Amino acid sequence: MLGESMTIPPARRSEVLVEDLGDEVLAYDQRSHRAHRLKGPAVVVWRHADGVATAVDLAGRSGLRPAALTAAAELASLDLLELDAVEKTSRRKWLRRVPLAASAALPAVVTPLAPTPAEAASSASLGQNCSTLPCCSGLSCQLGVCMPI
Amino acid sequence: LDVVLEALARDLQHAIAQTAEGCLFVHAGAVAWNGRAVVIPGASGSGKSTLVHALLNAGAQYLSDEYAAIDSRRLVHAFARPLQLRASSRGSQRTISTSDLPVSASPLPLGALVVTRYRDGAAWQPRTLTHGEAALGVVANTLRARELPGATLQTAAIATARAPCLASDRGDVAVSLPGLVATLTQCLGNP
Repeated sequence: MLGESMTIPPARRSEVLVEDLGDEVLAYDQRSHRAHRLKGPAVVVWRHADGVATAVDLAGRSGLRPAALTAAAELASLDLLELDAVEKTSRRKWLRRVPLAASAALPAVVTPLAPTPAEAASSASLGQNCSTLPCCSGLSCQLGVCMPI
Repeated sequence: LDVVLEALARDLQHAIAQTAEGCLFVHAGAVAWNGRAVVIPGASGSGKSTLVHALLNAGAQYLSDEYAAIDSRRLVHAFARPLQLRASSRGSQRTISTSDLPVSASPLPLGALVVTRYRDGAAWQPRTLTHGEAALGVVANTLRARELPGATLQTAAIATARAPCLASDRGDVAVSLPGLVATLTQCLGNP
């Protein structure tokens, strides 16, 4: 188990674009191309995890030690903490906690995928695959491809 | 020939959306309501076009059924194209020409962001989104989010900072429309 006195790995700042919204933080991970909304304890951990602070240190800021630990594990599961920056034994303990964070009832991080242009399209045009999108006007889906009606 | 021209027009629209400078193209339906823009982000099949059509019948003006083009000053630009309505569950569509639609030509400040999805039998029960939820709703539907993540985050945050941002599941459009119209009227006044 992770002790509350264990150091929380530092927040990853490289290749992460951040928009600070006050109570929330919007983060875009340029490695995974995923956008995250950090809220509550995840914001506190994100702002103050410097590789030195522990959950006990952050407890005063987030109000609840377990919440800070869970939020840190959530951030770790999303590759938003630098696990490489902590020593090997601690890293193993963090990695063991990650699956628990993923099943958190009230996640402190919300993550939809940023769409690709193709995913963002509303309907398929002539000759395009129509297995997941409807065909444009005047076309019908024939054998998985949009063809003239 | 009509089919080919329509495919060409669609490809051109997509190319414009992917290359335009100075605007964030968000996959969304958009209408003008009392001088402000209502943006309804949503993925394919989420019923944006049907909702836009219903809002036009309720007095709104047309901006787009596909893209809301938002600039860094929170202005939403029209991207009016023929309104594509799904006519059957097999994917065929009905098209309404822009000449038959009340198009709003000038850019409008974002008045409201409405995140909604169809759920069978759902009643219109809007809740206010946090700034982060609203901004993330924009980012998740932005066409060039992967290519321009910094500009996407920044514009999404600015655009959603002051406008009311709401979310609700909705059932059949005929059932949900009165609630949505009442919400927009309460936030923005009459259309």
